[in-house]
Amino acid sequence: MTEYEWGEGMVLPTKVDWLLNWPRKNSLWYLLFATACCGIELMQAGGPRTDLDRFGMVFRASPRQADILLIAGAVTYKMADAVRRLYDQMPEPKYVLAMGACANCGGLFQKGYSVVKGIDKVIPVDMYLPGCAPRPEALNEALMNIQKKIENERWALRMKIDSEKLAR
Amino acid sequence: MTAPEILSAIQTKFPEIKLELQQGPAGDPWILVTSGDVANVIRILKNELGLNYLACLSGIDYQDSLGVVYQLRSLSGKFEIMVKTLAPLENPCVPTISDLYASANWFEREAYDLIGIQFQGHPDLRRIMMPEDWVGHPLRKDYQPPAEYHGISTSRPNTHQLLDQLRTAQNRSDEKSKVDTVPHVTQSGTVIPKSGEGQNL
Repeated sequence: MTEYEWGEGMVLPTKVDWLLNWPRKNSLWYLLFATACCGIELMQAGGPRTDLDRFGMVFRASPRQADILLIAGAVTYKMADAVRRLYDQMPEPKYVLAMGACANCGGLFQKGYSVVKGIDKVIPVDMYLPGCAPRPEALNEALMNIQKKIENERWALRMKIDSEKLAR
Repeated sequence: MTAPEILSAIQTKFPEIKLELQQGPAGDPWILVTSGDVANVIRILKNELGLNYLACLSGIDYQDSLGVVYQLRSLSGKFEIMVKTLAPLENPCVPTISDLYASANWFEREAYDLIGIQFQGHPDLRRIMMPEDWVGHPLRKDYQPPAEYHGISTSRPNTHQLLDQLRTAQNRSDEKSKVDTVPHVTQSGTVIPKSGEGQNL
């Protein structure tokens, strides 16, 4: 029996997009950012029942290490500056999930004087998750939708978008 | 001590100022004091009648004037009294009581932030809830929110119009496929669960 060493005549046919997207979608590290009761559901989703760890999702306390920003809860105008700053500190490629009615449109508090009427007025949002508050299963599904989005991304296109962003 | 007893006790201390005991259709009676005398009256209430606990300090917009309401309580004597004062809409100045009660510091900052009452002599009269560069006092009855703050629009989305758009989009996709097995994802990324899914959650 012949023992092969890696690189000696071995070929692994694959697509560059798949090769780059597969590890990316399976290591979505999310930033701990909970402003209201949706944060409780987020904690629950990280716990053993929903167990986001099995998708390679672990929480990060620093935006420098995070891939996805989960806006869990209502954001006030005072907080909006901090949200934008956190988003700016995250490395590309980065994703934003607006979790719950408050992050989507201001929700129950949208007639209040201090609440931002949807986090998409502050930062670009990739996925909107309705609910008040969404159950961990719903959050799980939204994150799987983000995974699908990453899986289908064309890397060359992404590079182009990023370079355009940097040029601006 | 009851409210009339408290009133007569302060009236003997300040015979020159006019104090009224008022009573609304419901609730507790209150002592109405002019804004110039309120700090002196509350000093007597605290130091001589033992009302040593400021339970609440609120600002009120009565539309023709502004008001401040003090809820004072005696923890040892187990009685309480409400003191009210009025301030004009233009230049609403009320003397601070933060030197008497430490808890009044943040209460007064809150009343300043949301109603706009200027507490004279307050050591640190800054906004406490709204951002420091916010314009206006949000709990005033005539408050108009700014069109935007730091580039963030303060207008709300028209939900009826959005719902109509979503329904039209959904009808179109129903005609196309007839099989509604996956949640719709619109171009903006909105996830719409398939019909009937909400009840199962």
